Amino acid sequence: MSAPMATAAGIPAIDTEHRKLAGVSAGIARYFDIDVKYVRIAFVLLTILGGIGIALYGLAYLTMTSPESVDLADPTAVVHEAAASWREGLGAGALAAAVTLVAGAGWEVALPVGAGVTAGVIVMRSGIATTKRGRVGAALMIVGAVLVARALPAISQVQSFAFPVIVLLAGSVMLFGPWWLRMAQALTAERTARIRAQERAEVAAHLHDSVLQTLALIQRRADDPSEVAQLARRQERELRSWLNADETAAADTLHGALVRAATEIETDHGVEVEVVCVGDRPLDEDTRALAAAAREAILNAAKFAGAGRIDVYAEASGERCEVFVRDRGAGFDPDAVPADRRGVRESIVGRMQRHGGSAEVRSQPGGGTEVELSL
Amino acid sequence: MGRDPVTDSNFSPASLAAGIVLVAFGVWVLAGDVTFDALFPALLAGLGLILLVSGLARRR
Repeated sequence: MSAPMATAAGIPAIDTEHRKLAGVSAGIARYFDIDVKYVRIAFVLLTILGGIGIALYGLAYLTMTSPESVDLADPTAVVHEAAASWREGLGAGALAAAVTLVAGAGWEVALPVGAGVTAGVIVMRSGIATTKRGRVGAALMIVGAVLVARALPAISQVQSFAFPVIVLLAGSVMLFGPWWLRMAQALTAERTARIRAQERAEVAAHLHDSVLQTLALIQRRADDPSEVAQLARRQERELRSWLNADETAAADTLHGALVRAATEIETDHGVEVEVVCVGDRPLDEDTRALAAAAREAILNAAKFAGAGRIDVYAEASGERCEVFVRDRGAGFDPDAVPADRRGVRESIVGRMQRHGGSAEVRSQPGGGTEVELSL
Repeated sequence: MGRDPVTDSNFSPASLAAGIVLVAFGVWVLAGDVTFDALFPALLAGLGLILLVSGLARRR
């Protein structure tokens, strides 16, 4: 069962869609299913006759539910809404108390009025009062606030205490202010030092787990230059990625897919693969095929070219994607590739064509190879 | 000293309300008819206005 929404039941909601001012008249008209012009005329007449229309309009605005629905099934949403309304509640309450005082009433009336308005606005704004139980609870809270305010000592007594209290506060600030400030500064310094120590420990732990382990491994494999180079290369890539907080390899994008393919082939075949990507695009069916074709081209270069390094350059924008895979290795004659070798024909050219793209292989024996993939 | 122009992003209705309240108090004090009895309701109304504007502005 879906949760009742604050705008759906019980209390009229502000109608911002058909508003002339704040949407109060339109909300009331919609709630009672009457023509909005009668509500507006009523507010105007009440304003002309003593100005009470303005006060009623303001009170209605503050107590009607907001057009945004509050999910009553979620207690945190209701509490958050109530907590977020404290400024409006206190502000309206203070204004109501001030108006009551100016009207000639004493503090014994103004204080309960202010407390009642404050509680009313906060309760109504939170959207609690849209169910029967919520309305009873809201009424009890408002009455409670009024009763508590009435039970407080008369404000005339408070007024006579105001000056001594202000003097006492000023004295306290002068006495304890510098001490409190020093304590706050010491706390900040201590927190900063703790954060620094934590960061240093994290760096030390990372260096131990990665760089020191790799260096130990390199010492043990010192007789195999290709494996040493591979280990160093992998460590360099990992360290750069960590230093720059680079999350490219984990990203579900064309750049991420190319970096993952490059790392994998570099590890498996001991050849350096350098990826440069200008722009990026999220992986979809087509870019996934492009990344797969590029991976195949890198793999072919790593297996057959005999070059120490493969360059991958990608350019991706909203409309067009291009990937170039280059090596300066042995090269080959594309026309002389036997028909049963499906690597280039199917996995690269055919795959690109099936996804509306194209692939061009430029190579000659001894002159390296360049594969251009376009989408 | 440089001046930052007021834009939609840095405009603060609560600060404007606070400014208006302060100016109103200034005019009132200069007019010379401040009484202790009237001071409390006036302070309350000023504070209420600032809080109300601040709360309503949060919902914009």
